[in-house]
Amino acid sequence: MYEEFDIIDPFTKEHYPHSIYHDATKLKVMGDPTILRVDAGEKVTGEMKFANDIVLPNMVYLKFKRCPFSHAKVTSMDTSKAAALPGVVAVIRPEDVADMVTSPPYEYLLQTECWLVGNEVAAVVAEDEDIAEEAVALIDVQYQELPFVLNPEDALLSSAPVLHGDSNEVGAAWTLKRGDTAAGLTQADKVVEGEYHSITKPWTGGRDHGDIEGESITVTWENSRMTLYTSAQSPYGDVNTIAGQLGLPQNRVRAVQGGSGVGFGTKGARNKGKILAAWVAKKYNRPCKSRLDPESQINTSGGQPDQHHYVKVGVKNDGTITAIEGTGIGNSGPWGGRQMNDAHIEWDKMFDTANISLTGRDVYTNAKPTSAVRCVHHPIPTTFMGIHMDRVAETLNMNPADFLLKNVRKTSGVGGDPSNPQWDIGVTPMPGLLQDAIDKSGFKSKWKGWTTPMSVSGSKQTGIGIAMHCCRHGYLANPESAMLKTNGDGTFNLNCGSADVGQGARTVLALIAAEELGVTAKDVFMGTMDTSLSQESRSPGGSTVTRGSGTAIILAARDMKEQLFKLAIAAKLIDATDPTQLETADGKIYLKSDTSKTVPIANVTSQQNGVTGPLIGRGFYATKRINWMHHQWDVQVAEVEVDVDTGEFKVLNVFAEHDMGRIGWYRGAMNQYCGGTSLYFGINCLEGMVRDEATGIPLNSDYLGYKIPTHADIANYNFFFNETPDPYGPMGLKGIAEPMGPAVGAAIPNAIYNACGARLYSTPLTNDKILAALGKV
Amino acid sequence: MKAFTHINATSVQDAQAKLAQYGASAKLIAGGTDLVGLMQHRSLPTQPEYIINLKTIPDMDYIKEESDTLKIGALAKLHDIAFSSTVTGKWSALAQAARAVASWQIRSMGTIGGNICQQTRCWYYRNPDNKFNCLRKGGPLCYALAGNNREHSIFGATEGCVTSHPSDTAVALVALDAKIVTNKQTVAALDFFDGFKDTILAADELVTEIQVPAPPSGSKQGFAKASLRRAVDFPLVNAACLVTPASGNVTAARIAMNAVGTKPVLATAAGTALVGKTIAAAADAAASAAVNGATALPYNKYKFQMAKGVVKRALTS
Repeated sequence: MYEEFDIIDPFTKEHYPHSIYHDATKLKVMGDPTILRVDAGEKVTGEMKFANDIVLPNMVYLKFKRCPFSHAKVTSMDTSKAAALPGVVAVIRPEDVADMVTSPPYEYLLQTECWLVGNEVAAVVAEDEDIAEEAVALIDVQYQELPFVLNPEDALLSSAPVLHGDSNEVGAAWTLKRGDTAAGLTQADKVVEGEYHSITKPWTGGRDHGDIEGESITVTWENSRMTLYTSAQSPYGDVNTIAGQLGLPQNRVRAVQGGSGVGFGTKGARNKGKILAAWVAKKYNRPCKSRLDPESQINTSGGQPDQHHYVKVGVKNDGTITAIEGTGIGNSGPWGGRQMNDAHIEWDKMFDTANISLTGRDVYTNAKPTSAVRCVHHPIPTTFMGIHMDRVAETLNMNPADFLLKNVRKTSGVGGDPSNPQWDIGVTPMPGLLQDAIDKSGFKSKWKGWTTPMSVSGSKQTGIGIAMHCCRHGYLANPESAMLKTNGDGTFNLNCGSADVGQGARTVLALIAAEELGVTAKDVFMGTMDTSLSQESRSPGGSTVTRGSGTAIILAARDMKEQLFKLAIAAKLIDATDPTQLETADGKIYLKSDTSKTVPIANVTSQQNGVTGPLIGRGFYATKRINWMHHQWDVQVAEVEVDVDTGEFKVLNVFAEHDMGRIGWYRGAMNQYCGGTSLYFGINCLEGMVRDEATGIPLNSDYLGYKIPTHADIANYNFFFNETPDPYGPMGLKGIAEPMGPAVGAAIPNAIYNACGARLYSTPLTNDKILAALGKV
Repeated sequence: MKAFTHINATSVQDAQAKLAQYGASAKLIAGGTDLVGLMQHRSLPTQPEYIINLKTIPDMDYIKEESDTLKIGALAKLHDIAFSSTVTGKWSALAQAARAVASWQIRSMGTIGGNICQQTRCWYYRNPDNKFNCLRKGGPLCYALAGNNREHSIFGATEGCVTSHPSDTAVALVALDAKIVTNKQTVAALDFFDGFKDTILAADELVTEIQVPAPPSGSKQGFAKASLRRAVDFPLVNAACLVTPASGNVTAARIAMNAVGTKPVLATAAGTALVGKTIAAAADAAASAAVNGATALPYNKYKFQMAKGVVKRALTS
């Protein structure tokens, strides 16, 4: 029924026998726009149980005592008053858990030297949350305040305090060089330089996940088994971490996850409450709950790193780019992490140039730790290069769309270093996407010239801007495993260890199984996560779930079908002698040689207990090359209205062209587009941690002060999916979560510039910056 | 949150008596959208031990027109004010201001009395666990003065504090020359606010009613607000105006601004600039006059221009 292609890896020459490239016209479930999220009803009605909804008898609560300084040593700690408070079960001091290191070599479960505001120094276990909070306030900690540094550029100065080791640099600088950049800049008719910052004075920087669910865990220890009711992004990660920390075999630790608010990259990365709650539950033999409050979440959990970029682009007068040179400096927070390691590599994949030289430096600071926030670190360079290329086009007095069309990388194949298969970008659909976005948005007719607004009405001026983004996601996708189980009524249960963190894994993975089994979407059900009932598969992260578990699910479905066929033959339900003679469609098994001969799958599964016992289909697939790159492509056009009297702006319309492979679950893709674009609108236009520079103390650590967008801020979205089936992804699908939206981060400032002539060089794009750029401050 | 004793007040007199009895250890609560946040974040040096609930006082959430005056009980919800046909008709600036507060849910909890009595949103004052024990809390200094003052006053300090007043409804009440009725006195809205103590209320005093006189016939009202986010956000600047007449040469104008000073500002020079001219002809001059005498802190000079823009929008929208 399906066409199949044997894919040959162009570098290793290995065959990919399980790669599946289906004929779109034969797909029954994939792409059906009527299919809803499997848990939509539970979520809309409030019936869905989230981790923090779990309340158990005899439960105790855990709260941390946190350091109020950006850098300090604990010189003494008096916990006697807290311990004496009625209702307090225990006060935990650093020496009680000295061997528990959460992020070696600097981060302990409880710190005696604190590297950021909110660092955990002690904890209280109490009968209720209010008592725990009161007891925390009674812990008397004396500190020796130490010098600190917040801005990664400042941290590189010789006068800066060094956090760890000899230098604040986290490892050697990352570089990418091709061609001769110096020569390319010399050959240029014009060289456009610029510097761009995602932190600005008065200190605003550091982007949070905006996790409105909040991290929560409740742990029980019963009958020598631990259960974690967790809000994790990776429940298997929680099992592995906690089993390891407590010295328990993994078969004694179970993670259960109900609904999940979000999982943009931070949940579980360094949540000390999880580990300590497990320790408490086992030590005191009582269920223990730990919940991260918004302030602590914003102050201490990983966020999008602050970056500074210095860029030079050389161009000929005809618009040809002769060289791109870029240096980026990024904040790694106190715990390190290589976020500038290739942060601006995507520039090479988006723009054609023979000469490129990129450098990235990661720097320890006492600011917010870093982690992925719906992508690791590529969206910030996309914002800044998008603004810079707009400036280059202006220097040449070229229409920005024409400039991008001229310079968009048109060649498929290898970018960057050709000898390094890591930079295989596959086929690039970007030129076509760019043209489509320009046409569908009417960019050419709407754009009236540099700083010539589309329209003027009183103080309101409208403008249009364009930018593009590409990113690689869906790789490093091991382990990939799945199991399918039959039921007597012909329905199937899908067991897969890829958690649904709100992105819809339960829906899309069941759809893949249904498509391969030849049944309807509702015939396959994947429940919420219980690691004792499923097996590990690729956890959410890197937009890998569809890519990572999808192939294993197809293999499990094929294993299942073969067993169904054998059972049908053994039970004489169909006139065949060999499973290869059979296939499934529309909930039935049919004879390939005579499609009128059919038997409903339910008639087969109803026989199972008399012949074979329940059927289990297994699928496992190992990605052969870990560096396989799946790229996603995104062009966005934004129309904004700026009030030049107040510096306020509203994004009116966004036109987006995406190529994210085949769209398997259409509503899910829509949801990812709207979510991703709104998130990057927020990160670039509204959000940022505000700090007091003298102390480093964050000033807006709640979701009133830290401004994630509301519905009132959201533009009218017009989006188009250009579906190029990915030859390496299951059924042509690939990861789509993270690359949806970052281009809007540059399209908006470019549109603001078009509307009113306010060129913005830093994010967030706040009113004061617009007024200053207009010369009105 | 620290445990407290919750007391349902049965009348204004009862609430006053409880305030007198418990003194500084008591706080009033109506919608709670301001107080509960402060308590949750442990922002103040001490936590209240008694919470006196005003919602149990009967018949204090009315919105009615009596003898040409709008009378609003202090417990009236912001949502009800925003959508009351009485208010949207003759006192549209107040309805718009109430509508501009926060979100649907918060407006459905928050009261007009609470909105004008709310405490400052200064991010130093509000910082959790009282990390900045500032002047307003009896501490040694105003941290915003030398710190991050992007959202603070451009009209100077009160007692050394440079906060900006966050209320949306207050600016409309000042422009409409409303009166605030308490259990002890009736004062003009402009005189109700105190740049350092939030309001002039004594320890055992509470707001019971807002009275707004009918605007002159043929007059025009306006309200405008600038904020970073379009909903669930406090103003960076807001403004309201009452101008007579709406068309033709202006004979009288009251223009108020908020979030630019430690309390709502009546921009008398802006009003004067309009008199004798049409709004269209003099809006720019009035907007410029509105920031006469303003003084920028290191990071908030943009508010000069923003205030001018917001005043002009209130006048011309």
